[in-house]
Order: sequence, then structure tokens, then C-alpha cells
Amino acid sequence: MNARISKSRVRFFAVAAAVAVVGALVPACSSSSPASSDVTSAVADTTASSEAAVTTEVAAPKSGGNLVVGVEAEATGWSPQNDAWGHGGHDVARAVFDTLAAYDPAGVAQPYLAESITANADSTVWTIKVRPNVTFHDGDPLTADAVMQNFDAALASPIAKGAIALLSSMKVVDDLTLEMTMSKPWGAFPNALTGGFAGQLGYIAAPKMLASPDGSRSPVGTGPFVFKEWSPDDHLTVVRNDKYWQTPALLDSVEFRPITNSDSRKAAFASGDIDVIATANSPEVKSYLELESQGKAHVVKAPPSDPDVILLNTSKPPLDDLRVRKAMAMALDLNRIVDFLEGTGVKEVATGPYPKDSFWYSKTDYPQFDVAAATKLIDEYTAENGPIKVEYAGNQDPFIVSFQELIQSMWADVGITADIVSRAQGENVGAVLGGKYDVTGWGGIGGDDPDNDYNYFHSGTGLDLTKFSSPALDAALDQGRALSDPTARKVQYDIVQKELAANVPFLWLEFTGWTVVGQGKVMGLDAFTLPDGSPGRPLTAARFYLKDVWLDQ
Amino acid sequence: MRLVLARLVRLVLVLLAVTAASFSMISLLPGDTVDSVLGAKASAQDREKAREELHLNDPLPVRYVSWLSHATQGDLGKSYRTKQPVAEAIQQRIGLTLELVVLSQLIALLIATPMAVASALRPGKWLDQTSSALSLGMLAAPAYMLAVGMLAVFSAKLHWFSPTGFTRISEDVLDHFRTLTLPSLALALPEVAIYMRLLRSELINTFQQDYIWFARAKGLGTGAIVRRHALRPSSVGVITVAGVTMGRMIGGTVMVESIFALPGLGGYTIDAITHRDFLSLQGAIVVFTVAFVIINFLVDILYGVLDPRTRI
Repeated sequence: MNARISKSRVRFFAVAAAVAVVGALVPACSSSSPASSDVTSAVADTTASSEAAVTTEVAAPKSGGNLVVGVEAEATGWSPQNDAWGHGGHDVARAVFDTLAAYDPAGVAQPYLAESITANADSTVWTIKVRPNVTFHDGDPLTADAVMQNFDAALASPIAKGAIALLSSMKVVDDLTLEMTMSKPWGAFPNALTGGFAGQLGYIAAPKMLASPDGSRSPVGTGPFVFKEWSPDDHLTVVRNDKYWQTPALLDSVEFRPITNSDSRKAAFASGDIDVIATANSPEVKSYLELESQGKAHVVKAPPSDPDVILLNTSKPPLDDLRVRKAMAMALDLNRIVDFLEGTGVKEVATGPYPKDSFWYSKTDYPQFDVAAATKLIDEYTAENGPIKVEYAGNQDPFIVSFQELIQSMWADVGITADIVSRAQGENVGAVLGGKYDVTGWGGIGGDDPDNDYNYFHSGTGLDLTKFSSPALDAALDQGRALSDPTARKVQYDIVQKELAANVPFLWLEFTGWTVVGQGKVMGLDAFTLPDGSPGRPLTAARFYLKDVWLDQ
Repeated sequence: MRLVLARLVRLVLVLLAVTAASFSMISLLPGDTVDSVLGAKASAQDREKAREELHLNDPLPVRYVSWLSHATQGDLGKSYRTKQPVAEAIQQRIGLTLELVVLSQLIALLIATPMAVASALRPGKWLDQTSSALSLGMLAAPAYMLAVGMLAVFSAKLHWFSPTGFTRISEDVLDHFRTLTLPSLALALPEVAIYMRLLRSELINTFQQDYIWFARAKGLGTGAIVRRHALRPSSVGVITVAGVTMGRMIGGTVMVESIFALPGLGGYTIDAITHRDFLSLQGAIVVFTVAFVIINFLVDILYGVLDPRTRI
């Protein structure tokens, strides 16, 4: 997601209150090491708990009923390869399609639609064996060839091919086995098959859907629900797949309603018009927690996801000078920023791309808030080069502008003049991609598996938006990508975080925390299970699974 | 017949002017369609390829003429983003938007007319002053503000109406109108003030006419005088303004449909603008223009019905 800090992003935050209420019920485990790279056999440690909050459910699961889910945006279509989905799009996709892999509670990708995903010694050849006796909704069997057709479609798609750029060739070994050869070692490959932040590669669509010119309007997968109808901007309906390869879902049907206006979405939930919504807005979540305490709602909290971040274009003066970048970081009072965002006491400040309870988190020497030290650095620079003036670009949302004004005032305190430039969202994205910017807000970097951030951190990828380049950083990113053992990978990502902290191409602000809220009758939002019956990770940001959801009515 | 032909010629000229102007204005919008189509992760080569495929590198006049030649054959192109034919998307959405506008217009007239009559019968009295104050309040509130307010009160708080969603008339007639009530009211209320003020002043003027005195002298009651002799000649101005306000209401649907999550042409237009989906936007503009011109043509015909002296 390439959004800059937007009103919704800035206002929507992690809610420590949620942790306070539900944390007691769930031992936190996200800091536990992903135990194994052997994704064939790895089974999550169930005692290690879920990263999502667990609500107490007393009734036995019941079958039946229609669930109405309010999603934040309409999708352009349902092709995993050619349509880029927001969180709501992923919710629909998780109902209709299955992904080859899914996360366990510790954030390790486990085989899901695949029976096994194994690599050779140097992770250059990956073998995916799909489960036998699985059929698409159109009756065709799931085969290795069908999976290969999905990857072929991804390679042909300008949207998707970047996510699988390392794939050099594929070979169908037998009906159920696909061998994939990478141009470089890629130990973190299974992570890309989860439908998480790495992209949409893992969703497997039926070959007939891929071949049809209108396929993206009538999705066909192997998922727990079968597509019934789509009236764009109004609703999309799916019905239970009674021939599902796992235990069939409990709900009869699910209706997804795109409601782009957040106030309308909130009102629709309050009136009972919709049963499930996702939000990251702290005050909103607090009100839902209050409802939960009255037994009128269920709140499920996702692990903190990508932080809000400010990009510094290090290819241009004065931002090519480390002293200036450090001073800009030191000038930011992150607690004041969190307070401005109404997140005091509930929101985690960011000093790097990964939250403190993440397995990937490393303590670094990222510059701390220190106005005197920042002023000294700026004085040094200005004595040599004259006054510092930068353009701070953002979109035209008044809230974003006021947020920029807060940052602007902090920089002014240390002697940096930042001119706020407000552009249309698309225009700013274009300017940043073209390197025509000094400073801008951004999102979608960090929070989950570090390999997702390869293109943002590694030089020469086209998405290295800060233009910062360091051989040590590139080498660590390449190593981290090549290795499959999480502990060995973590060593490399320690180097990555320390390099970023020492060179400050990014200014980290605070982490986004998503929460999914269901009406009191909606059960099981936190109960996603893997095919072997062990718990999976129910939420990645605002993306959830519906196969284990039921209505207590 | 001559009038119809003249209007048709005028419609074609208006359409040419509007579509050419909108094509030019859309091209001035900052941002790049390709960003919306491919997102930020596509390579520079793929972006350029997409730009070529979508003919975005062609000069503006070339793109316009190409679009026009297809449009005259009924082909409005395909959405850059969704790949759905624009004509098909419009066909799916136009009914709801037109219904919303017509319903809003009816509500506005139904509220404004009795208020205007009551005010005109006793100008300056408390009823007149109260309705004037009320109508000015409605005029001051834009449709989107009313929409959000009504959503908060009548949906979220009182649970009287569904805040979002749309029930087709074929599924449930009552629920259909229930889902359209708040959006229609949000669009109608700002127009009530205009109609009410206009009709009130026309009625006061009409009540001074000799034929009204004559009717009174004949012993006709106030109600009969209003219905039979005053309302019709006093309505010409309101009808004229109603034709114009149709345009504003169509514009209002853009926000109101978005707030109430209605799958109409207004929301489609906003999506098209947000994502620089030029062909979708162009298609919507054509439909809005045709609708506006036709509505005003019908208004012209209505003049003749209301006042035979204006018949051509």
C-alpha cells in the first residue's frame, strides 16, 4: 500500500486499551521466535497463543445465518493477479479463494491450500505440493498446473509481477507438484504466498476464471464460500461452499457492502445494518471496547502493522547530509505526535520499522528526541551551507495539513524551514515515485515480515524511494532474503535496522493497529484454524477469515 | 415538431461543447491514471506500456476525436480500472440516481407548496415568519451536511432508517422507499427554501390580481381560489427554477450517494474523478448533460400547460 499518511491512517491507531482488556485473556507471543523454517511440518505452538485478542465464547458454534460485512472500498475486480485490493478486498478474497500458505500465530507461513512447501538447501528451488481431492467451485480439480497458471498470470501482470520477480522458471512434476526455480536464493518465499503484505500471489483462482475475459467479475476459487453475485458499489454476496475441502463454513452466506464514508460505516454498525467492520481509529475502538464490556460487540485486535513514516529524499541537498536527517529525527517529539493523534496511552511510537513485540524488532541507536542536539547539528550545517529549507509534501486533506503543521513547527524549533506542499493524492504518489520530492509522509513499510520491505530498503529496486544506498544494507537484505532459518534471518535484519537507524533515510512515527469489530452475535472472528486444526493468525491488519465465523442468534 | 428538432440540434451542440470542455478539464487534473490502474509497485516500463495501451500519450484532440467517434456509435469505452464497459456501468446506476433526483424534487415541492400558500395567505404573520426562518435554515445547510446529520440522528441514534444499503423496488417496495427516504430528504431540503420563497412571492402577487378579487366576489372559498385560480399561474417561476435545480440535485447526488453508500451514478462519478478514470467520468458527464437538457426541454413544454400564452 503506497499511501502517504492519510486522514484514515493518521486517525486510525493501535489501541492499547484493547490490549488492556483482552490482553489478560491472551498471553502475547509475537515476540516468540518463529520456531522453524520447515514449513512442511511446522505446527504452531498452541500455548504460544494468538496475536489477536480472544474473546470468551460460551455457546457451541451454530450453523446458518447471513453475515453483513462493511468494507472500506469497492474493488476494481477479483483477479488476484490484476486487481490490487484494499483490506476489504482481501476479506472477500479469503472467502472465495484459499491461499497456498497462511500465517500461524507467530507469523510463520504454514502450508494451507498447499500440502507442503519445501526448498532445496540454498532456497533456489521450491517445491509446492497441493492438497489432493480439492476442487474449484466450478468443479475442476486443483492441480499443480492450475497453480502454475496462476503464477503465469502474475508474471504477465504489471501489478503482480514485481512480487515474484525472482521466479525464473516453473515445472509441473506431477499432478499435484510444482517446482519453482528462483534466480536467487529466496528463503522467505512462503511468506509471499499468504495474501499478507507481500501481495496477492498466494490466492489461487480457477484456470477457467483466469482464461475468461470477464473472469475478474466472477471469482472462482476453492474457498469456503462460493461467489453468488456482485453489484459494484452496492454489494457482493457469497454462499457457503458445501463441498469445501475443509469443514464447511458455518454461515449460510456473507454479504460484503462497500461503504467508503467512515461516518456512514460507523452509523451502519451502530444501527445494526452491518455485522462486522474494521477500524484503526483509537476513539472508535475505545467505544467498541465499551460495547464489548456490555456484551454487545466482539473486538479482535491485530498485531501492530506498518508504521506511519516520513520519507527523506537523500539524493538532494540538504537531505543528503546525515546531520540534517538526524536533526529532523531528533526534532520530533513522538509522544506529542501520538497525543495529537488522540493515541496517548494506547499507541506505540515507532523508532524503526517493526514494533517492539515483533520477533523482528531490534534495539537501535535511532535518534531520540533532543532539541538541543538537533539545533547544534543544524547550526553546524547552516554555518557551512546556509539556511535549510525543504518542501514537505502531503495530500490536501485538512487533517493531514494540520498534522504536517505540527511536524513543521517541531522542525522550525531546531532551525529547519519546511514549506508544506499539498497535492492531490495521485499527484504526490507520482512525484515521490519519480523522485521529485524532498520530504513526504508514507505508509505500507515495515510491520510484518522484513522481506516485504526489500524493495523499499534495497537500492536500485525502483521503489527505493529515499534513494538511500549502503552496501552493508543491501548485503543484509540479500542475505535475509536468501536464508530460511528465522534466527539467521533475524541477524541480517538486525543489521538492516541498525543501518537504517544510523543513516536515517526514514523518520518513523507511530504504528497502525487494526481492530475488527463484530456485533455481539458474531462469534469466531478470532478463531481461524489451519488445516491441521492448530490455530492460525486470524488477522493481518484488517484482513480476516470467515470460515470459522458463526452467528449466535 | 420544429421545436423538438431545434432542441435536438441544441442538445448535440451542448453535448459537443460539454464533452470537449470536460475532456480538457479532466486532462488538467493533477495525477496519473496509470498510478490508479497499476499502483505504486509497477515498474517504469510497465507504466509506460500501460500509458501507451490506454492511449494516454496521444495528444488530447486525438483522444477526444477517438472517444467521440466511438461514443456516437454507442461505445463509451471501458473503465481503465475495472475494465467494465462504461455504458453497462451507467445503465446499472442511472435508474437509482434519476429516481433519487425525481423523488427529491417531489419532496421539495410537496413541502414547499403548502408552506408557500400558508405564508402568502397571511404575509408577515407568525406562520409566514416561521416558515421563512425555517426555509432559510434549510437553504443554509448543504445537502451533504444534512445527509451526515440525518445519518447520525435518524439512523445511528433512533434506528428509524437504514444508514446505508439499497433495496431494489423489485425486492421490497416499502424497503426500497425506506432506503431512499433520507438521501432524498437531504437533497430536497435545501431546495425547499427556494421554491417556498419564490412561490410565496408569486402567490402574493397573484392574489392582488382582479380575477382573484372577482372570484372572491363570486363567493369562492380561499381553498378553491388557491387551487383553481392562483396556484397554476403562480407556478411558472417555480417550474423554471425546478429545471435549473435539477442540475444542482444531480450534482448533490455525488456526495449524498457516497454518504449513504448508494450504488448510483453520483458515487460512480466521484470514483472516476478520484482515480482519474477519464472514460468513466466522460460517460457520466454525457449522461448528466443529456438528462439536464431533456429535463429542461420538458420544463419548456410544461410552461405551455401551465400558461397557454407561452405555447409555441
